[in-house]
Amino acid sequence: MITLQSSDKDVFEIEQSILIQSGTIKNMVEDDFTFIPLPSVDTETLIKIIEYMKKHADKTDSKEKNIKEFDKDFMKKTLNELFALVFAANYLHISSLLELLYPSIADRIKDKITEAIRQIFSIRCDFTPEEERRIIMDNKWAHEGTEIEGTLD
Amino acid sequence: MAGRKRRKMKLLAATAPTAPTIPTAPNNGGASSEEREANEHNSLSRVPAELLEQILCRLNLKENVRASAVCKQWLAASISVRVANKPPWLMFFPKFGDMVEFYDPSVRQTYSVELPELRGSRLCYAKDGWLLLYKPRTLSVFFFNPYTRDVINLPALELTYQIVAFSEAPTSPDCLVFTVKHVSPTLVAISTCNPGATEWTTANYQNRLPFVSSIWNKLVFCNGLFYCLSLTGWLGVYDPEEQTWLVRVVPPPRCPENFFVKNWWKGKFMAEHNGDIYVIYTCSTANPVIYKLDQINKIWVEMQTLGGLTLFASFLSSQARTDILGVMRNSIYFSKVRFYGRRCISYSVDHDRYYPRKQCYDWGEQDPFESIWIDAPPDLSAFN
Repeated sequence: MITLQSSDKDVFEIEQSILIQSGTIKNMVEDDFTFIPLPSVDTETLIKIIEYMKKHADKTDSKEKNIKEFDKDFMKKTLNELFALVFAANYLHISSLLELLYPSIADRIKDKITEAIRQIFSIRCDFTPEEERRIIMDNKWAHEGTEIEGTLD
Repeated sequence: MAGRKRRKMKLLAATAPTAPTIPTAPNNGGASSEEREANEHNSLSRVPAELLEQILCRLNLKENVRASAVCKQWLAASISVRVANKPPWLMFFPKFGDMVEFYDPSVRQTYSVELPELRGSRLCYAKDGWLLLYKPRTLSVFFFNPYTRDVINLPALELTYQIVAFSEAPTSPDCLVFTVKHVSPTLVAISTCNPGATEWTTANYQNRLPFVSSIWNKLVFCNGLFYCLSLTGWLGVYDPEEQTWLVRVVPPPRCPENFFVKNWWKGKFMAEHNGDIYVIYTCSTANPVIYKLDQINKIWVEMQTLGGLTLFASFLSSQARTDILGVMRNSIYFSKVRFYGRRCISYSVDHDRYYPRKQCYDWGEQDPFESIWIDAPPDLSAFN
């Protein structure tokens, strides 16, 4: 059993066989670590990560369809949650989860106009008005459209 | 330390009326600076470039362009993963000497290189980065890649008054060269050849509907078939696999009333894209009209819009592209560049006008052998 500690100082004891889906944890286990602090993963996110790894640990043929259903539901989260997962999965090197997260996040951007994307991500535009005008005029055709779904889910 | 975090939260709130809840560590006395730093790092607005690229590479071109306007970091990430098509280049055949000019319409740049291999030859066709040329003096027919300067010879054939086409690059084993010659209104002589053959295969074929093959033929290879548009707009189709020739029961594209001026029938262009065939009719007194072949209903349909496609028209062969950046969408680019401003003459289907505004563009009067659209080179090494 391996002990993981979240940034909130909560601890979780999980079987090694489940945790080695994380390349990072696998390396530490090989170096004989049994207590692994994760200062960049909060409890809420860590719980989800563990839930994912538990489901994917048992990859027998009969469970394939089951796992696909789980993955689909697993992605039904807010953008904030998805990003917290992406940062954690990136740090923990869980490539199967990343491959699931990237397209899910991309789907949230797909139908949004530029300003809506900025709102969702709370990004301040750092172009000068002239620069921004140039960028838009270069490919005006792409900016035509009326979707204004700047929600945070 | 805590003050720094509060300041950052305020900054985010200022940029958007609805600031997101960033996952934060509960400050139960003594949260380390490392954790605070990690949480600041984990905010939506500061995604590391590699992660951002992984997300953006899942977007199509239009979505990618929208994402690139978000901020400087997103611009860099979008561009690094962007997949857009390059337009073809316009190649100018030298009238005197060996200096060949290539024009890149996306940056309006011209490059030149001496190609003595072209001396004494005449352009026939271009496709997949290769040219087909003919030397009338020796009846020599050959493929030439103007960027690598590779030459692939074919057996000789007299091609004085014929239009020739080929299916794909001669480096492909399935490459076939095709030409059709008029014998009578119900009989044509079709010659085919593939690189490596020692001679051309010529055979006569009958057509039930009248068909007059001439130097005004337009040829494209599409879905395994050679399509030949005659002077009067009838479509003859050669199937190289079945070795059959027939004239399609598709009435020629309806020509607009005001098109019947001198030589109106000369200014025609044909291109194919993803299994669709496009024909452009031009006239000095009117705007161009584009038709697409509806194979199911056996009719030419006039296109009011090109759905993002760009057509590049030259007499001997024309090309089509989707997903080109910039303003080239839904336009026809003709094989002529204005000296001033180095701008290629184009027609916008969206705006119903030529750029620059029409003085009098009579595409039927152009020298058919002076220029041709050809795939862009992979790099500029040919021009150093």
